[in-house]
Amino acid sequence: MTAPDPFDFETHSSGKPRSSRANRETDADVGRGDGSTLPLGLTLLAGAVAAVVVVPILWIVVVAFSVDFDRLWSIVFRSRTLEILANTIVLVGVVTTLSVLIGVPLAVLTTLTDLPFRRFWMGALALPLVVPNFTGAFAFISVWGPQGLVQSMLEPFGVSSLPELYGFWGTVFILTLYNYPFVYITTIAGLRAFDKTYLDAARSLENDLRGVFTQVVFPMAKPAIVAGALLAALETAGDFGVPAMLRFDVLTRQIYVEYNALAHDYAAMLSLQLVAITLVILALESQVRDHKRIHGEARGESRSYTLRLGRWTWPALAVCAGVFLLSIVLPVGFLLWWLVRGPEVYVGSLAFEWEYALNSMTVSALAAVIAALLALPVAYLAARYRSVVSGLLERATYVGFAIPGVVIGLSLVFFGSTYLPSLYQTVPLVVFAYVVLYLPLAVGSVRTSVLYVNPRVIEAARSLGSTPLQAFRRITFPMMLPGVAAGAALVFLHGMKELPATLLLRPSGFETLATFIWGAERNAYYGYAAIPALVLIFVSGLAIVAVLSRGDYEYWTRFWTWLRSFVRNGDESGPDDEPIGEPTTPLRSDGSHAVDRAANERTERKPVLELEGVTKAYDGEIAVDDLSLTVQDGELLTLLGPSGCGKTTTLRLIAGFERPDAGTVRIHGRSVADGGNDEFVPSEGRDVGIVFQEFALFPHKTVGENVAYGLHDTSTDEADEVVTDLLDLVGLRQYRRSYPHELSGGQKQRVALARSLAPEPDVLLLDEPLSNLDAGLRIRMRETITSILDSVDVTAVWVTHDQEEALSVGDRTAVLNGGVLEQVDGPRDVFMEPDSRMVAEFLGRTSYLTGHVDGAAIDTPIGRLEDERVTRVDRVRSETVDVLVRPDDVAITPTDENGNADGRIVNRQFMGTVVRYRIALENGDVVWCRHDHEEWYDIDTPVAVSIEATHPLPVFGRSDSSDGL
Amino acid sequence: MQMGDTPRRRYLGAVGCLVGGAVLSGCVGGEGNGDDVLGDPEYAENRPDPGGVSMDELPDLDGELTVYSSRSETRVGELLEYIDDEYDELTLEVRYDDTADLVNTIETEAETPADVFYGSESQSMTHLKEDGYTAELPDDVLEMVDTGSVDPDGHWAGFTRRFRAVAYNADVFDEDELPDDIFAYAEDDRFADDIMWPPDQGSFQAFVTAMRQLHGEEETREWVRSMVDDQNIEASPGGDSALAQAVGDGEVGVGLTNHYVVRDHGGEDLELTFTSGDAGAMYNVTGGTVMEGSEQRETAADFVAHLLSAEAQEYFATTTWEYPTIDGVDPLDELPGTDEFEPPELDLNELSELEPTLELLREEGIL
Repeated sequence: MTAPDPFDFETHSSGKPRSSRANRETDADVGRGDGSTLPLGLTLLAGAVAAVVVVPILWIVVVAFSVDFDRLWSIVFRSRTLEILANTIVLVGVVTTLSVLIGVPLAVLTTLTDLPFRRFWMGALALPLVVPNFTGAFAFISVWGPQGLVQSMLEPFGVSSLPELYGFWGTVFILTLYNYPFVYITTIAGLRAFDKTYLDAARSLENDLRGVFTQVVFPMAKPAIVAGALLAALETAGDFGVPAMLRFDVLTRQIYVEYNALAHDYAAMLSLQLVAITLVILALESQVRDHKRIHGEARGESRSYTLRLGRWTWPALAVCAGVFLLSIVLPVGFLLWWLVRGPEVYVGSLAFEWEYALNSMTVSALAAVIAALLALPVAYLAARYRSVVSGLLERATYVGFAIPGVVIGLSLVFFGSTYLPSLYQTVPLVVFAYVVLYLPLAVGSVRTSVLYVNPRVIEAARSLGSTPLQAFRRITFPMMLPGVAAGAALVFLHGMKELPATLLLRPSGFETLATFIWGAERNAYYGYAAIPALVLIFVSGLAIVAVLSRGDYEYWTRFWTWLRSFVRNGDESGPDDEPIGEPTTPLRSDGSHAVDRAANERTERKPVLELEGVTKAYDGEIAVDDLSLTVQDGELLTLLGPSGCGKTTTLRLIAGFERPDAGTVRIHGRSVADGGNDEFVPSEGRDVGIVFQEFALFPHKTVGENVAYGLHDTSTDEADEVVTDLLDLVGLRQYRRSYPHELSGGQKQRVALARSLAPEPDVLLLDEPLSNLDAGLRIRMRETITSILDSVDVTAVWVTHDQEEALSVGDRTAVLNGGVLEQVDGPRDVFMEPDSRMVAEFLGRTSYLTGHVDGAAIDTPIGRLEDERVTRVDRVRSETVDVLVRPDDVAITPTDENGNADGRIVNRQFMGTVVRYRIALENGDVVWCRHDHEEWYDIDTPVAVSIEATHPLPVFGRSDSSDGL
Repeated sequence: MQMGDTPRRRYLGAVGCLVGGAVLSGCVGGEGNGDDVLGDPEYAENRPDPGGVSMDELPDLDGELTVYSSRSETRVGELLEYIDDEYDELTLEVRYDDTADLVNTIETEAETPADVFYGSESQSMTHLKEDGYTAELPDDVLEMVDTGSVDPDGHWAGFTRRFRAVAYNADVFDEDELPDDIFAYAEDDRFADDIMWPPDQGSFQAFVTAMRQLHGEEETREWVRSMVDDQNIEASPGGDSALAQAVGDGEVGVGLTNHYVVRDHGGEDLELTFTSGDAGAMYNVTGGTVMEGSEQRETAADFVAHLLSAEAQEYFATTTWEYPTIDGVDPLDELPGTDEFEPPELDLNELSELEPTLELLREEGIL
């Protein structure tokens, strides 16, 4: 420990607080948004989207219950059913597990290592997703089957039979090969999104690579992995073709048999079994799912982080190449081989036309855009407002995912022909079917992207004057764009290969790549499928590359800006400013406001911020209890307390992120929140700036744009000037065009400060602003920030759990404990005249001498303290009292054994400039003493103890229980 | 029953287009044959002029006609386009899809836009008839068809016949050593571990249905059971084409399938034989029916008649390798004449009683 002088502080770990309280605040992030209930509009919107997806399933239920139940029972309750069910469950389990085991390492290889041709592999390994499963299965059966290509090539070597492809393992093999990309793609997104500085940190602490993965990579990528695994599991459960072709009996095969026997009612009924399995999978997933914050602030920082593969390069390349060969090269090669060989018979009409590719792309692209838009409310609600309702709405969109496309398609035949005859057998209905089928792909991706957006960033935008909607549009949505784009791309890719619903709903004669390929392959004219399959893979590959290779904000932000300017058609007005809140005038940071804080200390100024009887509870647990506090104009108040004391809640109440249950918050005399009459001005309506521990910079905006964010009503020129002044003030002028991820932690914090100062807030709030910085930088930044705050003379509240920080920067310090204000006073006063033991103990190392009141004086084991040397600070009146002594209040001198000794040294801590001794006194009291490092005493040395303090020592009464020692 | 030389030049041409990097559209796939001949020129040439009624003698078609076709575009697209092109006033809207998709669609639609349903087997048409979706065809259309290939109720007319057959690998068996009794295939040791069937296929299930009708439930169950228990019969991985391939490749020696697979699959070693007088020699028909709700039932019936015309029947004979259903058009020489074996007497309508068949197959652990 490097505890610096002059105060020898208790070592309250000053790293990132990860106490239970911190976790509770984490819950608040996902649990509450800025209110305690679901926002009505958003919920209704999400409800409407979920209904759109669920209604087709309801039809299935209605049809299913029209069957003859005797026959149904004979299908369902026969001994085979148990086996089929077991087959299905085992298949889903094994394929999902293997998909994770393949998808995650491949994602790590292509994102975090120096794998040669990394970018190529990143796209190539996602390609299996776009190969229609039936195409892959056909190819493998042909190539691997008895008398197939592989066997005939091996024949000269005496291989007469290969391991059986049919059955469980063959099915597992093919489904894993074509479903692992779900996990792979989502994991890449997850690995990209989190702060790689954690990796650097973990790497420097721990040389063990396994530790880095188990401690850092997996926990952070877990939500993404789980999301991918869910999709892989559902896709496997609902796969219609592969198990049938590979002779493995699962539920879908029974559906297939009934459907082909023209009994669509039984097919629907049996699909409900799949719905049941889906519900089980969803329930399992919600057990594994993790709602913890997974966003780091510094997204994309230190992109240089690379794991050197070294001698593992070749094995890694071999694995990538192997997967690519099996999943892509083999089926495509198979089709090409048939193309060259040509069918041996006359084929009347199977001409490929480019129109088919265009059809596929149009329908899929439309579905992708619509699905991504519809996914937004559902995913946002689920990620930000965790509740039963939001969870149900989100899960509802997944239920249809495992139902075979024919059944969903038929349901839409019913709805289309009955309620929308004009749309029946038209392209819009096909698009709609894709949306229904693949919405969960978009929801999963968007939801994950929301989780990776730090709520502090949104709050920062709110505090800078943006309404929730504006904050969403300007900050959240751009930050979610990579995830939204990934979701849209997944929908697009699936649309490109969708077959059953397309066949049922397309306009007559409307051919897509997938229907064409199917038409050729089902007649075993494989050669004709080659070119459309290549086109399919090429087009989908482009989509994958567009999404996967560009996960960064700049790219998507530029794309978004371009798109909007394209849509607005040359509307040149500034990017996205709309006036909100009171007008602000640009800041004059010429120093004219600079004030000598010390001289000001006692001057009465008018109060800027007043809290009166403010109370806030979360789920019945009091966080802030009847808090009253006043901050004067230009004053810097530090709010100090242990973790969980309510200081951050207090700050959030002032900022307008929380509503008080009782009490009033006033800024400049104007009430902004009143628990009594429910009056509440949201953050954007208060002139309050906030600087977060996590900096919360807008990662998709440059430093200059960050600082300018709050300058709504200012003309461009003026805003420009303000930004320049502020960047000068914080010494970052040359970084104006840099992006946050290019800055160091200290620089980021200065940008955050400049940004919050730009609109000249009435009150500036700083929430543990230095906690995310390392120790040395923390001290320097403390000085930097105080001097900046001095120069602009802003009224500020600075929350910290670090006593030294609180005492050194504050004009006054308020100590909070358990939601109650213990004391508010000047730093020297709280330290030297603590109102309570808690304050005393929290502000530094304390020891107590047992004292006995004797008139005005107090007798202690080391002598009598006269009236003027002590001060009674609490109201407890007792005979026996405790006299507070800090280590620097006492001195020791070694004595011989002749009885002059007051006690013995029982412990010694060498601190560098000083040595700290613990002395056990004769009466059992223990005191700490700070001593010069020149002298060095051994443990057990008898010492005489004297009091050196020149200020009165605080004396605390003993409550009855401990009295009468 | 050997296949003739393959018309390989077309495909080399197609590959040339691909290699040359030219615009692919139109290069791949035989877009008709460019000649005036309808269908496969390889087999359409050098045949006697077909008998029967020519399209010219049939009433002209006009208006917009929607056809739900469970026969694929690959098989009948050329013929339907030919008819479409014959009449300027006619627009054929053809919806190609699987039987199951189309029938389930019709039953789900509030009101089907289809005027004609073109079935690849009779069960789907019977099924639609029984559910009241079809109308009776006029007598003059029905009279064009052989009696064994038409619905006794007059709701559908068969366009082609397709026979059940036993495909065998000519390297393994000689035709004359194979039994002409379907039940023998379940008993003869030579076929143990060397025989395949496609239980998921509609045509196979129709065959089992026929067996139930002709030989009774018990005998059918015995046959199925002994196929499974004694012969250890394999299930085809991908319907009849994969089965034909498996037989052609010698993976198994014999397979139970449809006669027309020999056209496309299995290569040189695949040959066909037929049983006689039992379910193994049954045939099914492809055919057409007019939808009850159609607003142009007359045109629809005339369209059905067109598929019974001399030209259409000749197309089927030469191009899809099926057996015509009118007098005056002979099956392809490459196929055995119907006088070489004896199909059983069977009302095709009974093939639609599928549920007991599925139940039997499920009970025996096949589905």
